Amino acid sequence: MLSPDERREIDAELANYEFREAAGIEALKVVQRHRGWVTDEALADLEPVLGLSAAELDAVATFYDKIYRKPVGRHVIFVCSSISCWVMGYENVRDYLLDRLGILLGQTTADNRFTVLPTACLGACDLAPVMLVDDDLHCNLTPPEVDAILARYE
Amino acid sequence: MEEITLTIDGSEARGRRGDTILNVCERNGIDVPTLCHFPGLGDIGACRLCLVEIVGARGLTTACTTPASTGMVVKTNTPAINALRRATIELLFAERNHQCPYCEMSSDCELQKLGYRFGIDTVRYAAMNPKLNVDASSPYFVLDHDRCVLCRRCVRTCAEIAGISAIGFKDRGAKTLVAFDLDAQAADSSCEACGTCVQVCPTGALFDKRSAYKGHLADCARVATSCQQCSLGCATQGVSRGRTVLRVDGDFNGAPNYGLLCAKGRYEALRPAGTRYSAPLIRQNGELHEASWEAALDLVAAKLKEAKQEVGSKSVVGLATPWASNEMLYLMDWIFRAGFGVVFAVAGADEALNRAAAVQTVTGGSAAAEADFDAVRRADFVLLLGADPAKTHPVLAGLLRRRVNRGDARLAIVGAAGNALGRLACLYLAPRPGSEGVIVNGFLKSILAEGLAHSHLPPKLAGQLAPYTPEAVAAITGLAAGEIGLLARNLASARRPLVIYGGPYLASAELASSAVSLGLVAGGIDGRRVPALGLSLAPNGTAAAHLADGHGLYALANAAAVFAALGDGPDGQVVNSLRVTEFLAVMAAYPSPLSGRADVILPAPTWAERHGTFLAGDGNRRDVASLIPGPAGMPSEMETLAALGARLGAAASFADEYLAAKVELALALPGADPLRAAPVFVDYL
Repeated sequence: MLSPDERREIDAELANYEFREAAGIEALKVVQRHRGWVTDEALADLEPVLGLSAAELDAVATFYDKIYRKPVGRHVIFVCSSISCWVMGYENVRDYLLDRLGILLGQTTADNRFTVLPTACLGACDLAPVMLVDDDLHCNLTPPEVDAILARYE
Repeated sequence: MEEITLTIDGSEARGRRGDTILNVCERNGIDVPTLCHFPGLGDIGACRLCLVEIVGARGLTTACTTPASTGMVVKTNTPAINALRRATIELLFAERNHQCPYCEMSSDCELQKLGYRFGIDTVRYAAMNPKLNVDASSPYFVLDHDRCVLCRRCVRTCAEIAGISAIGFKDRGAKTLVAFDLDAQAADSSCEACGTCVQVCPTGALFDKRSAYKGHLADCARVATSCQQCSLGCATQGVSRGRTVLRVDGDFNGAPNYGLLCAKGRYEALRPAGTRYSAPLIRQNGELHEASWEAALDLVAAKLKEAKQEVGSKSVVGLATPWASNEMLYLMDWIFRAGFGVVFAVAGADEALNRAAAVQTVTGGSAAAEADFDAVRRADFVLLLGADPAKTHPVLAGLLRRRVNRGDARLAIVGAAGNALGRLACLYLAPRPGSEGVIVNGFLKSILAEGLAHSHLPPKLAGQLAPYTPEAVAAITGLAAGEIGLLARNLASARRPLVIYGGPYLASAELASSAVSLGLVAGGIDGRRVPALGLSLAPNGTAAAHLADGHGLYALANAAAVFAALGDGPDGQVVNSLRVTEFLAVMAAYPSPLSGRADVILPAPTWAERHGTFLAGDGNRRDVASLIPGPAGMPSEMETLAALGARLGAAASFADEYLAAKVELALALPGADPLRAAPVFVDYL
């Protein structure tokens, strides 16, 4: 069941589009914001609202790497692994980060604080290497800066 | 239709406004390679093989998604374009595991054909050799991701043709996989096994289990015919090799289904119904023994004559079912009723009889006076009145889902809870059982009260309907008064309403006539048809009702001798009402409860072997072709009947003329009579 808040926010999105299917991505983002990730149950809840089948919604959800079909930690870190960041040596930053958190790429820390995921380009190649923590972009990274950044997210 | 003119590959090419470049190429016989395009499905430009150059435009563009316009100069076949196409095909081969020699689709595969066409004898890219699962959970088909080219034909077919959307994509890029629901096994998913996706798959990613590895298309015969599973009579093509039907395909150009089939028609029809009778059998001392055709036919004729003489002509019955062809029904009628002078009865045609009586009463016509199945593709408001097509006529359910999903029609349901289309309905009323007639009268009263009636109204009707106030109807049906008026108003104010009735509304001629009257009042007469459609089940119920003169199973209650030719009809109902005292002969292909009691069994061809004409539930003709020859020495049902008729004194030459005349008559069923058509009032209080 969609909560009243979810329903209200999705209805507001639906009002923007001629076809209700078009609100699919926004609706997935709404349930993710409220539930942390997009559960199978959430897809079933959205079916009648959007007139899309579970298979169609899952196709959208799995296409976008910022829609989560598995549980994630309180904060999600996307480390960019595309060409510019690679040229600028992103591996050092990535390895330092994972080492500090004691997890592998794709995993969540035991205290459920961080999940680290790879991403291909955050659109800030001139500032490489970069990573995204929640909605904050962190640029020109060096390993020592990582600690200071992590400390800001509880 | 406005014509457009383009220059394609140096020649003038004509098309129509709204055409894509690919459409214009197709019209002008220019072969542009593609894997994802399929006629009737929305184009998406996924496979990148139809790339063409538009002179003056930047880059290359997909012909399947680019609208054509007058003055365009298009090149489809340059070395640069073909080099790109070649690379794309190589990448497709490299991405998955395309081992043609082991693949069931080898020689019929569209990817393989393109490989040959572009002379691909080696792939320059390293093969990715992904480890992929094979889903063989469905009893009917296999999903093998190894062969998938991600063209989305199956995904689009499930959404656009079947209206189900059980299939989607999972993940993105090279990792993308076709998935049922949330990555379920096909057999555990919401897939209804209509098999349409299997038919459109260009490679061996989705293939049919029964026909797998049994022959390339070049070894097979393909014959256009009609499905004999229900009253829709879907357009199909039988694919056979030698004496075996390998597969049934839907005909994308044929009414009423336009490619869509259901599991019953595509798959279940091919399931053998037991071990076939190969020779006539005669029961002696309780045991069945093989006999010659001569001996068996002589015995049947002698026993029927004896019973007629000793017990009387009313106790001898020739029995058919509405699963038999027009020709069979009329020959039976000729031999037994006209020639031999005994009873000819049709069992299992009650729904069709009730419907025929109702249509006659309300419109003065026959089944052809009701809407034809194509009306579903035009209607903008459909009321399912007691009908549950997802259970009885799945292809019709698919046509409705498509209309509603696209927003072309709204759907309302009046009937028991649990209708599979309920999810799509804007109104779903479940009146108390037994109040089916009352609610229709409630609708009629509402429509009259709001001045929305579209037909001639008998002067007394308004007075007769007076007691059916929304409040009174609500009390009896257990619904809210407002719902009844709301549904009636929506139905009668639609531009093209359609009432599809079934279930309890076919259980009596009165309820059927109320349903037809509702369609007439809500939508009026269009040409010679009223917007009502009775969903009786049997494939040839229309012809059987046309012929049966209302005498049904009661004729069997005290029958002394019966000759039963059942076609593929389910005979449980017949067995229960049959009290044969003297003699029972059955013509059948497979053992059944009825043939288990027979004194003589005459083998018959199966559905795939017979040919003839049927009358679909909308009164339109369906031609059934023989897909495979019968076993050597097996006469057709018609030949067996003619031989029996000769022995009973019903001359075959007369029968031929009679047959031709009757079948002609049946194929020209009368439509509604606009001067006579009027709603009929039945009092249910």
